[in-house]
Amino acid sequence: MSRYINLADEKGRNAEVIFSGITKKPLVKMITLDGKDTHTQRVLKGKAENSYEGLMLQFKDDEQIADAIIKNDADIDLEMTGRFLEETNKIYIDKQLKPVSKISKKEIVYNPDGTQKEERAVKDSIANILSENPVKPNGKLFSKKEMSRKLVFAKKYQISHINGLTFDFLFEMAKMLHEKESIIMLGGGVKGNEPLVFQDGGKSYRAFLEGRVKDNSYLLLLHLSNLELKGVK
Amino acid sequence: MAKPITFNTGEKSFQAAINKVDRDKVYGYIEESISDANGEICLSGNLLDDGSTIILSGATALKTVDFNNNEVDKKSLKAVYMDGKDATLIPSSYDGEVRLELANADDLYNLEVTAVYQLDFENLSVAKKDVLTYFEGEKYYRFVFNYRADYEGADAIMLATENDVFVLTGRMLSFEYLENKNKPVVIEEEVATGNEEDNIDFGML
Repeated sequence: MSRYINLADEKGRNAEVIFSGITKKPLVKMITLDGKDTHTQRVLKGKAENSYEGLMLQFKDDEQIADAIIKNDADIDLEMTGRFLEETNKIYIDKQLKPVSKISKKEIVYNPDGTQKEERAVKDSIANILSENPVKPNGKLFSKKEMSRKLVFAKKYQISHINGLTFDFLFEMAKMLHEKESIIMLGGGVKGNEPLVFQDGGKSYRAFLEGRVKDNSYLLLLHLSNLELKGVK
Repeated sequence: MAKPITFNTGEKSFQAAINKVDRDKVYGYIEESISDANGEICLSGNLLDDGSTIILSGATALKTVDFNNNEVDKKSLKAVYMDGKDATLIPSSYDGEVRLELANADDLYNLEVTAVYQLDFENLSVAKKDVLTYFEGEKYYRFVFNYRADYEGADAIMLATENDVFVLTGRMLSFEYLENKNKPVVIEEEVATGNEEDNIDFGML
């Protein structure tokens, strides 16, 4: 499955091209001894009323909860426990375990040591890979080998052409990067210096472009990073 | 210190424990706090498809079932590759020696990293400096990493920075070089997901 990205080169030319990831295919599967396939199924353990929070609302203290579990299996709903689940919808509930409809969100930022740094309003991220401002290189080339020791590249997408013109466009970019054994940082937004956001409300990533060529073919990869390669004590 | 792993390049053998680098411990982390109209903190839950049953986090389990949806004891199953041949159990990297094969920068850039480990040489006979010296010249080594015995090991690459040795694990991707030929493309719809702070210090760049 693929999606479009509005990508510019260093000369300021831009084109909408395709980027796609590689889906992980399983290597191994579990079968019964007589060769039949198996699959994984999500099942229900208990409703909210059967949870510790639900039982505390009903029985008020741990001793009474324990009694109720021992005498009446209060932690199990015989009709629901073990039920196969398909799609569920995320909701927010109050301390009475009732759904709430009007909510407000805030972010709590913690330091690496776990102490609270600040509270703030939620930052809404807007996708910027297909906006009127193309994703563009920041002009500075980084040695591939040098950057491999500074950043961790977690996610990778391959960029593909959609016609002959975009083939030339992408091949030229890949060739330049291949010959210089370099990668180049990409940025979104008006100035081309913002991290990339792939969908509204999604994570933001620093992105780098890597190119390789082989005869008349090319490989252009978008590497996403959110971690520096730094030792911790 | 955690149990060490024995690594061997063919020319050099050394032992080191591996400690997972937790991004939260490097940059910190963000939690989202939801409150209702009275300012009371809310819990997150799920609503089942009957429209009325509410379940809390941790209220579900995964079960292995057969084609009749009867639960199957995992001990009665066997692992096979997708072509039907019996799968081979790959031992844990902690059992025996891990053979390191020379790799290159392209291998590293093909690795979709899912975890990062830092090698810990404390209290062991092999000095960290000795291994760092060996890794000079921008060497990369690849191997198959398994925390515990499993049928699918993770692809891994070991490399050194100026002061530390790291192992990056994940899966090695295989990409197709593209020629000037058009092929059908399926475009997927955008899906909204959660948000995450980008607080990497890029001052070095």
